[in-house]
Amino acid sequence: MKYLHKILNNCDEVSLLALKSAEQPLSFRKRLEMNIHLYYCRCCSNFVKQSKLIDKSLKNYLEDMQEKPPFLASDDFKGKMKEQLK
Amino acid sequence: MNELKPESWVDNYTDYLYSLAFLKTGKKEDAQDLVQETFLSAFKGKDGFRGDSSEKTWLTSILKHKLIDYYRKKNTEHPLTDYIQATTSAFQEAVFDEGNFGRFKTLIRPNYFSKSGEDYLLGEEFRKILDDCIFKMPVKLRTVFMAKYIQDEESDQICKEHGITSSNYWVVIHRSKILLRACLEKEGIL
Repeated sequence: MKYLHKILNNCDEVSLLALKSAEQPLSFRKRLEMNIHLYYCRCCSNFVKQSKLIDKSLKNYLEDMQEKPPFLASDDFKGKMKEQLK
Repeated sequence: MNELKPESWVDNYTDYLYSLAFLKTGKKEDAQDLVQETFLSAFKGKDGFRGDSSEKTWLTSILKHKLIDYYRKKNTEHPLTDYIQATTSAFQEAVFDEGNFGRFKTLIRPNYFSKSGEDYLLGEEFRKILDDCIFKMPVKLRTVFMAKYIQDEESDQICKEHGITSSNYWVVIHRSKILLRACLEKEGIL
């Protein structure tokens, strides 16, 4: 019974394993336990879906950062840099 | 063949490099110092540029090396491992129901985000919210998160640079993903 609980309710471990499994193979047993959990647990299966969407949205993040930098350095600093690069 | 144009570096790349450095350090002064060091090293080493990558890629990789030194120093004073250990139980208590074998405390439902298409995910409105949520992450988590998901570094490399074990690496990735997801949800996206 306790083992069943561990498989069905352990979102903490499963959501971590799900992220890990995208990068490295899990042991047969871990993978089986994870898949059983994901089959029953809407929270975790939604977490995994949303996590993949987040990954997708981050794909061009660095590239786009030059066009739209989220932070701007001060003009003061830029002026100083220009002086130093002469 | 790419060429370097140091006279236009400041106008073209300062905000970009600064944003990257600021997100990775969480400190304005440190970010400025790193950008300055990057420009000066690049300027000094400009004859070594072979032109097989773009100017931007080249400058980014110089900043990346400066950041590695930065973390090395930072980690001897405040090891990331200590931070992870000190915050683990508070995080788990906030997110998971330990009395119930670790179920998510708050239900995660399918939502607007799950149904939105790629156009929206890569669009401007979403980008603004994403920026906000990334900035709201604790900087210690963000720097590892960015290395993996934004800078596309290898896990082994990231562990080495931040002085953490592979299992702590996954703890950080897991936590930061949970926080980012929850933030997007709170902003009405998810």
